[in-house]
Amino acid sequence: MHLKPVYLVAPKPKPPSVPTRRAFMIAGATFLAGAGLGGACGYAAGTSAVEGNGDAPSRPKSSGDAVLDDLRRLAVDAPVSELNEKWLYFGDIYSRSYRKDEYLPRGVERLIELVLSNPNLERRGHVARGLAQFVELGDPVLRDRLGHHVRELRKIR
Amino acid sequence: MQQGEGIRVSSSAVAGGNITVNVGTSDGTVEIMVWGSQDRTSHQVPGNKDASIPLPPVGAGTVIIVTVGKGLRRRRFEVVVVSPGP
Repeated sequence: MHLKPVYLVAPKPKPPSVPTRRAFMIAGATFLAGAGLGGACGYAAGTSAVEGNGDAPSRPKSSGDAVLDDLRRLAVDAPVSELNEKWLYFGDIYSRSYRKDEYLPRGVERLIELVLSNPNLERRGHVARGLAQFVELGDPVLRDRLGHHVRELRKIR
Repeated sequence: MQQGEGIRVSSSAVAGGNITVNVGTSDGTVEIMVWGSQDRTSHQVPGNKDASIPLPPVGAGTVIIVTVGKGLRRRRFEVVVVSPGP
């Protein structure tokens, strides 16, 4: 009797498939992570766009004019104590040469906030009167933006 | 009286009156402005002598700024206009 070998081809074993429940969990987690990241990015982009829609962008770029850049730094970035200390310098140059600048009103606004929120500020009444006058005699843009504070500033003694 | 770097300025002035300024430095020109406005007037002040500069026509309570010098050497003094006595 003659025996012949017979080779049978078995089907290639399939890799174990991910159970349906685990796949659902992975897909859900991926979706939640993506939604969270997208929401955060969208929120950041939206808030920066809203800030940009105001009277002036929040951070001034260099104007190429060193004096104006210094005034803008005082108005927007410098500690309010420094701005208060240099108020005569700031107001003098602002009212003399840069009345139309879009960033400088922010400096006046910060000083008004300082005066209104600090009852114990040194020479408060004097500073308040000066600020009220500065707004009243300022450019129409400054008056429109900050004129509503004048009455309150005038009341401070 | 306010003082600084050879300059003396009265801290208040009577409405309709004058501001007293003494400049001991080489800066002989004094500028007067109503705070916040663009209007400024220049006045020659003799060195080391009290000069009496007429106030602009403003009411009591107005803040006037007196400036002396130019550029980085500019000095600023605040003067409050007060009402004349009874």
